[in-house]
Amino acid sequence: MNANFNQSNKKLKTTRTSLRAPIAVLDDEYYSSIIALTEVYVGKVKNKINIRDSLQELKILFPMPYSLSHLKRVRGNEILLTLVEGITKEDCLNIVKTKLPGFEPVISSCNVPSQSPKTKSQHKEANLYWPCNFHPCQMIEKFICDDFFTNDEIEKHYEYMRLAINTAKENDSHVGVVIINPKDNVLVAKSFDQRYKNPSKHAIMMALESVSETQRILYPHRQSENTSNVTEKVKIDNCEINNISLKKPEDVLPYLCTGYDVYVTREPCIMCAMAMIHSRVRRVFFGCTSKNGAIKTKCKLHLLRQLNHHYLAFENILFEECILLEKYS
Amino acid sequence: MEESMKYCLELAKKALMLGEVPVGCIFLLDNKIIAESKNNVNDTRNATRHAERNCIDLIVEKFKNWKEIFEKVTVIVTVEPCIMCASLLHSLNVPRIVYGCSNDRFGGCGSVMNVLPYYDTTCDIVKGILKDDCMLLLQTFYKSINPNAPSSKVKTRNKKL
Repeated sequence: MNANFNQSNKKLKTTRTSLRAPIAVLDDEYYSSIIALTEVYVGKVKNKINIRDSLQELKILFPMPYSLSHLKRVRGNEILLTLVEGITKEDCLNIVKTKLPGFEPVISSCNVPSQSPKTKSQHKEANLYWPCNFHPCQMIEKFICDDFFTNDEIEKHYEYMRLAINTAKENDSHVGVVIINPKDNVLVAKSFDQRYKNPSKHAIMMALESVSETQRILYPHRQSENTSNVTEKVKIDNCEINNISLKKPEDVLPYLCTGYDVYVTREPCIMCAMAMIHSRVRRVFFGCTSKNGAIKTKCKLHLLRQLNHHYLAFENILFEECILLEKYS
Repeated sequence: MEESMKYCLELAKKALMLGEVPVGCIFLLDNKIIAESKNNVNDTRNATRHAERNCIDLIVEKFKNWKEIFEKVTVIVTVEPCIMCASLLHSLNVPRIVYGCSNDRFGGCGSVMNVLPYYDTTCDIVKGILKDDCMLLLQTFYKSINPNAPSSKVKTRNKKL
């Protein structure tokens, strides 16, 4: 079934562009096809028409546990009562018999999905067990179907990755990096691996270094303490800029790598992946995975919820050529 | 150990005066300081210029046999190394890391993530040395506003600016 899906997908792609779209690296929970289950008691109403009255009483007798809030209460004439855990079948049946006159005096146990579905396909699967509430996230669905980027965008990603590959080749290195400002398609920095000189001089670290160097040269004035100062400074420097409305300081001066995209030939290690989080990179594109990779292989650092910044990560651009670079070294 | 940490705290205070996140770090080899540095992220506009990284750069510049040196040093730092610095230190086989307070935002020695299992190396990690003093410095910094940070992305409801 999976193979079929891939094939139909490929056909779609060929009508769009001959290049394969970059694949988003998402949390495992979006890909898993196994639905985790939990057991609940289910009762039956005698008459479906009176279901609404019964539901009022039910809310008091069996409040819906928070952990099941993704489930619908009713399936046909069946009604979800409560988790099996915490109450015996007899106790549960007793309550139904004595306090819920609209119910038939029988209950059964039933397996239901224990977690909220994350994607449309998971929702479909979960519904086979019990109907679920679900609001699809448009962006995630597009990621999963590789339908996120337009043709032009895909071509741009390939162009920039080729730049990264060439940077590596020109310098006889096995890793190359370019940083792009996608707003105006400007190359902000490019670099290659120099860890033989200094253990921290991985390609990405060098590129981040070069971004900061550029910013120091282009904007020698330290960003001032508050917004009003920024407007003042700009006014002094050049009267014409006066007319431009300055809402936030970042409209004037770049802050680290905010809004920039990083193209790197192979998956970054933990140090580099974290350095890009510190630098507030917007998106990371890598060609092939690596054995010490921290975005897909060893862990998914960019998805750590505790961190203060998150970037999107995409893989599989010019995969074959990036792998070849690895073999050169 | 406390003496060394006090020295680091002095470095951190210097960083604070310069408007940096107050973190100080020293590398000890046979109880002698071979490198000392402080955080200078805001000055360099490079978010990866942490105290530990600066020390490492100093040592690489100073010693030709840096590889062997790193395998013998003790790293003393006021705040738990972040995920980036911790993985760099582990990749260099640093045998001992001593830190003051933990780092709930970026800590790479267990607070946010424990990086050590990803590296086939062992490292003796000591935490909590003068942690209150270290924390106090950080709190002083975060109470004042980071001049370089962009305005908060959190949407303010019912407030029209």
